Amino acid sequence: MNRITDQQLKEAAAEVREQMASGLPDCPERTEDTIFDRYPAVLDAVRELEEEKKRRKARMAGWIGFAAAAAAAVILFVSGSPIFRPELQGKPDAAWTGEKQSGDTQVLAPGQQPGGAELNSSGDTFSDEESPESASISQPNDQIPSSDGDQTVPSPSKADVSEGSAGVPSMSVEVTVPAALHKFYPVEGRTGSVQALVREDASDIRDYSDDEILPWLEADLKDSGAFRLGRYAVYEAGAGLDELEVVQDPGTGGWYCPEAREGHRYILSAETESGRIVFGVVQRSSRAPQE
Amino acid sequence: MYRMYQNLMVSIAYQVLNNRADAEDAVQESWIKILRIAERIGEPESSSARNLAAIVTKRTAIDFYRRNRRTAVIPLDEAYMETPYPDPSETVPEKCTLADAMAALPPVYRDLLLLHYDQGLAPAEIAPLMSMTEANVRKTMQRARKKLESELERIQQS
Repeated sequence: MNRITDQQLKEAAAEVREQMASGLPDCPERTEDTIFDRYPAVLDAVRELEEEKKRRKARMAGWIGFAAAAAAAVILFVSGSPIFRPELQGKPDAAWTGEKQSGDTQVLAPGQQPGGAELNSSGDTFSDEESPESASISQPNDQIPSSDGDQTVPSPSKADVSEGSAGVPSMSVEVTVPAALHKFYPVEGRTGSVQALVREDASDIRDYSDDEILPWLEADLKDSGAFRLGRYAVYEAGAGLDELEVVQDPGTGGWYCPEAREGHRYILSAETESGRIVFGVVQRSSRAPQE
Repeated sequence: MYRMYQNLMVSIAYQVLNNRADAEDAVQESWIKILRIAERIGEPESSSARNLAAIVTKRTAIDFYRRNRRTAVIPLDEAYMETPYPDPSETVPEKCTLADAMAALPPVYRDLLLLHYDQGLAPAEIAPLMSMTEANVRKTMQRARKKLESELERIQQS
């Protein structure tokens, strides 16, 4: 049997088409109406088709977003992001159990050397049981005056505590949220921890354990300046939504809370320029009063 | 395209259905089918677009006929195949080209081959135009090719 190639069929089909088209009757053009005047159902079909195209585009965008998120995860993994550091995963919740860790926050008595800052990444308050005893974020590189005002205590290398001005009560909460943190914000989670963390670009949404998140935040805080966007509010953990007064030190630009008491935990919520409350953090340090 | 082919399409549909209202309905349905492949149609005034309009209209009109005459004993395909096109064995000339043999195929076969090889439509796109399933389009095209080959061979032998 003869084998006919596709090319031969194409050529033959074109020839047949010409024959057929020329064999069709010549009908006059229609100019008195439009297809939509005559066939309203065609208009409906056009609309339906446009909707279908939109849906298809949306589906496509969804897949592209998913692929981008997957790619971002791979990049983070390859780049050794703390998110994927195995040593930070699956560990007991040491950061919140009171177990002391190297570089962790210390609560200092007046005059005592500040050892760091305590961090809670939740935007919500947390209970005593969930106290982030060891959640360290950053520590100042500056020297911080001690309680009696005449002793200057050198801070640990990680310290990043804003410095209060003279006349500040002896115990204060200093809230120094670095700009880098604006990319984190808590989504409803269990109190005292960040359960879900969403990056600014929403490309990495999942649950994070405290062990994963705290070192990450530490790293971000360490290299960042104070968070200066938008509005701040400080609440005492477990004490409702009464805001504490937050005072800015005109000298350093740091923020602190004159009413804060030692041994209590506080939550900072910071609002970005876009109006979103982005992060809750407690940075507790015992500040010596400055004369 | 509407301006150019509306009257032609009504005329083709009327030939099959012999009823003005049914012909209009068939043409409306044809336009909806054509709309779905509108991006694949080139210049509206091309013979390709003209032929496509004719094929889709005829096939849709036949579907209408079949729907309206469900109780009829005579299978419509028979009418479709026989009405405008004589038996291929009678029409294929002695000096037969592939195009001649294709033109002489039963209309369903020929239309499928035209839509696929000339219009460049995929079986999935042809299926709604011809009111067939995609699998059926593939199978029928395969049969059409086979028939074309055997017709060519028969003529060459004779």
